[in-house]
Amino acid sequence: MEENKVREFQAVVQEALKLAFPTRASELQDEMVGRLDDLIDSLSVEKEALLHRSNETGANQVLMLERLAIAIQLKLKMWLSLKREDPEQAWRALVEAQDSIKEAMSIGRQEGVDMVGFDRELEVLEGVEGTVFPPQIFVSMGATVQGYLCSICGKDYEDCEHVSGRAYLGEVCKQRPVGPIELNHVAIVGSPADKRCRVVRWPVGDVMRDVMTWKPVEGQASMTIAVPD
Amino acid sequence: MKVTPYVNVPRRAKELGLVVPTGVAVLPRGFENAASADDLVRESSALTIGKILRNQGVEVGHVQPEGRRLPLAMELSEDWIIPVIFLAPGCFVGSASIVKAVLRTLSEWAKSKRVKASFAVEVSRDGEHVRADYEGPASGLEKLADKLGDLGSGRE
Repeated sequence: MEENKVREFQAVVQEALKLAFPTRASELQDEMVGRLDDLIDSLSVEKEALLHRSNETGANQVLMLERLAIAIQLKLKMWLSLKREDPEQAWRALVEAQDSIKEAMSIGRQEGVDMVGFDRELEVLEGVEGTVFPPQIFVSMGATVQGYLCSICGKDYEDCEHVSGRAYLGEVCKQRPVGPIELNHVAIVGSPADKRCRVVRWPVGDVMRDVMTWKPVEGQASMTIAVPD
Repeated sequence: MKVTPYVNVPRRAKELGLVVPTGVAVLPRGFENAASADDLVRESSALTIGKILRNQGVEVGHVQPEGRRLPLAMELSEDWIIPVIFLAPGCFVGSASIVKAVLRTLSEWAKSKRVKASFAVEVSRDGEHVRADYEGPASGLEKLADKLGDLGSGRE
């Protein structure tokens, strides 16, 4: 990536990080979310240009920056959602920010990029999880599938050369389940792959409570289970 | 690392009508107890493990019926569940470099995750097998090389 574009990226990200605190003015955070949208769009264009020049390494490095920018944007959205009393949306933003940073770190390791600061940002997000949000009960689904397709080439994942979690041509390889998913159990787990899968309502004595707000709610105990896309 | 008795892997594979493994092979879930091959599934990580080991020059077989692919389990956990990996006697010849390559590759791939890994090893010429279970940080996998080597070369 050209040096001036890297400098532009660094400048926007530095400014965004200054606003990524709950005390910062919401209108400034909203504005920065918009600026990060523009940055992410321009990174996407840059990535396509690099792919057009068959520069896979460059495209993967830009993907890493894209994931980092998305993580910071989600962190801002998390604080905005909390200030707007929408803890469910805030939790989703937190979890997606953590996932985005982890993906950026994985791509960075793959491409041999120095990731000073990424670890620290992930630690901050994990600290927010533990101190700002109440403890969560996570659930995990156990199921059986006939096979998987590769998200990079579309072929049977068992037969192609791509490896799940690695970046290829500016995209991270994922396994997409094929055919019916036979659910065979749901378990409460300590370390879910997807922290969006959690109990959202739970009876406490005679009262059903929202796990986030602790407000009494109508209805039965419920949980959210995300189906892989 | 916890070591417990295990089924004779080649014999059990024959009983279930599966391809008999040689070298490094990934065993399906339920291998030791299943009534038939229809009850078997492969761990979700089995395909990726096969690929990353192959990328490091280690050929890996999947123990399943000839010409048929077993379904795959889908466990959505942050912990990385590694299927039971059978290490045939030939893996322990010489400096057991294949075993070290397997452990190093798995350790590097899993990075900072916690892993549950199991290895099936033949420990005597009578066909006695054991299963060695490990649960802990991925970085601990490489340290199992000597212990697995002792098991596999019949010195335990």
